[in-house]
Amino acid sequence: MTAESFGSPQGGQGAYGAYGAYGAYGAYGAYGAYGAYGLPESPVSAEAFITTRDGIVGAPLDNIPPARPGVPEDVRNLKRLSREVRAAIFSFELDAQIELTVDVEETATATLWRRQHKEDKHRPRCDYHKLAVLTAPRMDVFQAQLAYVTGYADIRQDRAAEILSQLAAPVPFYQTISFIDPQRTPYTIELLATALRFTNFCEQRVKYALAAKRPIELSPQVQPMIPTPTHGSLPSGHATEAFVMARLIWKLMRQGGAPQYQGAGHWGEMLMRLASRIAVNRTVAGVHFPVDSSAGAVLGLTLADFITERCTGQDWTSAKFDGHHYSPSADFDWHQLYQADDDTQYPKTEGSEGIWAKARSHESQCGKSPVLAWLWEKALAEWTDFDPCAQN
Amino acid sequence: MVLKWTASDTGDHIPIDALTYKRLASDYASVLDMAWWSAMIELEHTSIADLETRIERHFPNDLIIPAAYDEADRSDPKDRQFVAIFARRSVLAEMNHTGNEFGVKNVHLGMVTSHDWLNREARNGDMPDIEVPPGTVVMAMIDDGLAIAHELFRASRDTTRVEFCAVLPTPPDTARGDATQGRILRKAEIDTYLKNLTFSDLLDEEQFYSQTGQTDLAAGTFSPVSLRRSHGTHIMGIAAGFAPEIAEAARPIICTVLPPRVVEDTSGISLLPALSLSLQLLSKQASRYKCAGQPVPLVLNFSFGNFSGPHDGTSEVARLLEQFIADNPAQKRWMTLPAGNGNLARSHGVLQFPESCPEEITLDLRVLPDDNTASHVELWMPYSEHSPPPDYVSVTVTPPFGPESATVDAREGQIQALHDGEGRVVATVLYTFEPPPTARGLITLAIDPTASLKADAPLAPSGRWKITTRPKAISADQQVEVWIRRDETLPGYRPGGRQSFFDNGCYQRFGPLGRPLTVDPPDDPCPVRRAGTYSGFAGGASPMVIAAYTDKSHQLSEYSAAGPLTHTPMTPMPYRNGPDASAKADESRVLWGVLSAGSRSGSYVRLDGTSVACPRVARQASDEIAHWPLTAREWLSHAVSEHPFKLPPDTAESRTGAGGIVIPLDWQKNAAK
Repeated sequence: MTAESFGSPQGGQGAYGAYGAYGAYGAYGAYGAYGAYGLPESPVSAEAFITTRDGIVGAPLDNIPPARPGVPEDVRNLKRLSREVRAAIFSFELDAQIELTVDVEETATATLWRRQHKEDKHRPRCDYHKLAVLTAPRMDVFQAQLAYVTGYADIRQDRAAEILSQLAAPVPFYQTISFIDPQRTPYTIELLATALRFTNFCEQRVKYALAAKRPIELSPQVQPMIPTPTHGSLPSGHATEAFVMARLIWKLMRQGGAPQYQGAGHWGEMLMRLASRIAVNRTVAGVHFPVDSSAGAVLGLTLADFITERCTGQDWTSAKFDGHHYSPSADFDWHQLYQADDDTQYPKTEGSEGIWAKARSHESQCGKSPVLAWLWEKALAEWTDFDPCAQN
Repeated sequence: MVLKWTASDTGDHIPIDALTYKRLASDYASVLDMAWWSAMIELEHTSIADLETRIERHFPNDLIIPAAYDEADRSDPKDRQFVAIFARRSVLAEMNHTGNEFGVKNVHLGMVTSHDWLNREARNGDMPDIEVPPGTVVMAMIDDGLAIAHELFRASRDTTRVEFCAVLPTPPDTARGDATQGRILRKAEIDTYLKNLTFSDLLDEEQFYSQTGQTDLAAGTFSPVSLRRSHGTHIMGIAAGFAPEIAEAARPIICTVLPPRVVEDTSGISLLPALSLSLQLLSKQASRYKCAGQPVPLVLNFSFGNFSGPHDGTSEVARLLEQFIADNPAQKRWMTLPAGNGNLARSHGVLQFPESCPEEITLDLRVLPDDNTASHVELWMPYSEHSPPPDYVSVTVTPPFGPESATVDAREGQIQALHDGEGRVVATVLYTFEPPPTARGLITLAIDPTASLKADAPLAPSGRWKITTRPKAISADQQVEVWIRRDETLPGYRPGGRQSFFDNGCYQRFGPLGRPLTVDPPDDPCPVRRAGTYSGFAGGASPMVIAAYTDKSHQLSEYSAAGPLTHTPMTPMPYRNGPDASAKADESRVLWGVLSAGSRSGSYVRLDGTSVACPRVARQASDEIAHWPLTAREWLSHAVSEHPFKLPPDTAESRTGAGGIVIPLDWQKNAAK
């Protein structure tokens, strides 16, 4: 078993691959130590344990003091669980909150709904609220956007190293802006992995529902420089995940209170520029249209806010991407969707064909998930400056 | 492939220039007659207004004179002048007749220009004087891909030092209506973009270049500013870059961005109309900057070069640059040009026929497979005052696996065309006469592409072509100078051209230690030469022409092209024997190039070539131009003696001119006043 199983965002390319790619991870803290401590699971070790027991077990004891029962549904248990086990629990907490409906008219509309539990401890009772609504553009938009895919192909040689390094979720690129490291910020990494798994869970389902064709199916001359993933084109998974990561890191920085992360929003802007670059690189590579990135950014920014709400009980944002009003000639421009310095999505985004994106902020009605809050607090502590007065 | 030569019949029509209406992009071959071409014409004793009137009579809607020419320009019947125009094929064909009624002496085609990129209603707006403080020197740049938002060209986060930037390859801003082609950005507009597109103190440069017209990836207008490294940005950084903290106000920048589709034609031929329009735009702007009523000095850097042309100062580019320098006699105008990078390109041959020599000289021309563009070889006859000039030599051409052509003599009407098995022309050998001031015969071998993605395109064979020249009326002290046109594909571009070269066995490529020989061996009998690879653009009398040296090794850079030039007809001596001086272009043999601005703010990238040596001189020249009483080239010679860079004593003057010059580059230091 690998040290981590963060799922496989980007359809098997493995957002998680990022962690492998990311060198130090193999040595990950306790796991390295564990390797040194234990014997491998093998017939030899099992035989050794059996003979050892036979040798020393002695006659049955009859006066062992009784143990206490476990503490049920208590976050204190989390730190004693392996990361794989925690990953499953965190995923449950997020995945179980989401439902999907699909309407197929001229094009498909996928709606991600979030649950809102009602008071009843013994039986699930809930309402649903729209979280993200994505309507696929008509084919003529994709057809027109082929011009971008062809144009961006001109700069492939300039971007090839980036594109190949970003096949998996490009966590190491975020490490160039934010001080993330397995030794320094293990819980931040765990939080991001949780978010990426959830993002992939949502995005793949939406892609499946919308079934948008890839550039390679619209022209034989795209000739992407990397294999085209088998899943749908819109929304771009890379864009979705890139903006989830950028926004979550930015929220941790802001909420951590360190002075350099406050104020003018420099780190936030840089994180978003990076997310945008990662998204655009997929168009350069020939596997996405710009409109895919626009839809992905809407979804990613929205999911990041939702994840934060589940972790903290802070406000969340619902959003809508309407491909029918997306101008065929519009390139991807994240600045139309989001303002980094105050971490808000714009209520309306309008192009030459009308309003193509909307967002609305909501107060949290159902409180945070204690399990996710535990993870968030641990991660947030990694971004908080030490109090100089509290020394010794 | 069965190949066959025939003598084509040109009939009574004697064209001035071989206007083929074909360009690198093979799609242009099927261009409609209604398409607009950019062109540069040469007028003799005719004003632009007269030309317009005469054309109007026959072709009321087929000519556009750019708004950059104001009323005064249009009414001036100069002896000779180059004018950039946009015209349809019918007009161009009429202008291309010898003795046409329009006063047109020569026509040079550029590219088909999209109707959407032209604003026929454009009018030159008011151009009031701009009062500037003493010490101001206007810095002018013409290049492709100018990342004007780089911090080296800003005075603060949201104010630019670029006063004027004409972006030619973009749809016009019809609301302003001041540009016939492309958009003109002025400082106020650039500042507004900088302000509106800055978020959290960071400029969104993708949006900046998209909104200001330099990048439109959906329109297929590739721009080098989409790449990390762009030629124009790097060079402008060296010539006119200053750190924003020092807010240098004494070096305002005016510039034009050339269309990439003319830049990618490295022969330089398609460039003429855009260059001529750029110079006109910059000349008008430059004249506006005044101090106490007098125009302030200007330094223009143009880091472009080619291989071919007469190399005697009479090429169109050389004369066009002289026209710019002389355009406003009240304004001191200096210019820097690169010497060229073709020293080792094996693109130049010299044919001499002394008594003792064999009766013929053969140049082996290696034409590469997978060459998607045409290859051209120019054989320039000696200058002659006689009309017609003597029939100096005869030439035959033998393609790979094909028969030798009949002779093409150096006299009017001589032509041979090579046909493929289906009768289609795949190569032509043609004599033309380049009229005064050049006054030289020219035999051109034009070879079609050797590869094409079009199934029915006629293709020339790749391999070794033999060009055999036999003496006729040429004397022992005269020579035929041969250049292969530049045909390589620039980084990021995609015409798919491959540079052909001379492959004679006698050419000694390497020295005893295995390094490439950078100068011809003494008394080398081989007709293929390094000497004379000098850029065909840089033959004029006025520009400062700069070679490249490598700092650590104290040698000229291997690629840095060399003189001499051919005999200049208008003067007893050539204007020059090669470059005027050399400047730093490489750190060392392993660390090539020098650092300057990348395409995005905060980035610095490496580029080499004589292209990056000449802006260094432009920068230094801008500090000295106001005070130096003599010519630019005399200043440079003086500056070399004051700040010499040590080069081996045997470095030929034809490679380094007055010598190497040390010019420090410090973006943190204010310009001299």
